[in-house]
Amino acid sequence: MRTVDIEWPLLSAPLAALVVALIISALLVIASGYFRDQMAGAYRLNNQKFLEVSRKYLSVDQDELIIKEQYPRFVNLYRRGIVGEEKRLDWVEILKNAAATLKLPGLRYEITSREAYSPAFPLVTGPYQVSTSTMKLELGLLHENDLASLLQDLDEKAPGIYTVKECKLTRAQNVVAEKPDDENVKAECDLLWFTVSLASGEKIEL
Amino acid sequence: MLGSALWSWFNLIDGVSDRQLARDAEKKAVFYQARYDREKGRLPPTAVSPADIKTAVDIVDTLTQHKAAPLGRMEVLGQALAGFPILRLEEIQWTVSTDPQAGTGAATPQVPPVPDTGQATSYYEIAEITANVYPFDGNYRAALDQINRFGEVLRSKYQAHSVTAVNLPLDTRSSAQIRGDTKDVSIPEKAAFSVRVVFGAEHANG
Repeated sequence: MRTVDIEWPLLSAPLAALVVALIISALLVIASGYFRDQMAGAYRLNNQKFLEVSRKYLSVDQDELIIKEQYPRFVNLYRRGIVGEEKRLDWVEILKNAAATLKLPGLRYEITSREAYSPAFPLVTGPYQVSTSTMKLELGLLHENDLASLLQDLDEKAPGIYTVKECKLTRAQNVVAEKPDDENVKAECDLLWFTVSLASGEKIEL
Repeated sequence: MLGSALWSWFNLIDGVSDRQLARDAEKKAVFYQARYDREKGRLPPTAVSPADIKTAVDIVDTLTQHKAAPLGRMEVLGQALAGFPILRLEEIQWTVSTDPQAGTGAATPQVPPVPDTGQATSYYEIAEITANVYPFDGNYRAALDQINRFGEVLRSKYQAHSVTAVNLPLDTRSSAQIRGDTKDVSIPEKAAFSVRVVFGAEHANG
């Protein structure tokens, strides 16, 4: 059958109806699918909100416990310059006082600028950044116990927490001197002072 | 047409069902948010969220557990040396690392693998001791024997993980070169040597 043999006037109305029906069918499928997807999305979103807020609600007791037990420690860490800003002036003053009290023949110090700390051990930092300032100490000691006394002084009085990274003790002279201002041992130690601050740069203020 | 109608119907059913679920979830979220806000209002204000308070305190606890100080090991080395009056200490270079081979230069003999003691070692304290056999009578065999015995005492009595000779008064290892003159009868006043001692350390709560 050739195209010219088809009686188009007779077929045009049913064909038009067919096309309209197809368009309506397609629109129905598209619209209903869109409606279903929108509602599924709204459900997911609201359910997520519900789960989140119910989790927060259920953790209020836990939060209360943390505030009761841990917040005083947090405040103490803040005041000691471990959380927030380091207290360099206090470190320097305590070093000077310790040197005077222990009658150290010599004490030179240098504190480097603070930099990010990457521990070699696992440390969960959450929103915080742990930083260190290196305090380089050069000491002239009458006896090596003076170093122990100095570190003990820092432990007890200095606001902050530190670890000794490395330390070198060298005999200063062949014959042990007895005078208090004589240097029998030279010590060079690097101390890392830690501070914990928000990684976002936001200041912690109490 | 029938197929699309059926398909759309199922989409509609799904959509209506999800819409109902979304409304329920929203109501529950609003309900719990109100309760959460009320409960939270009871808690005292804090500088950071309770979860972050705990994280900060945990960070400081972990850093404290990994705090290292040289004095304990230096005391141990001093005690060990006290048993060898002819070994005179010149220098101790102490460092801390999670790698027992840290700071091992090319010239330093390879440190033997650290034996597994079954204890969790969180870091290693490494001491490089420079000392002299003093007074030295020219008897290299006796001097080497003293150094070996010193190393043995560190291993057996003070639980050193490894003791490695870095420099010896006379390096008799097959890999080393020895040169001398039998006509030369002069005896040096002292015989220098250095050893590298590695101690394993478990952190405070470990």
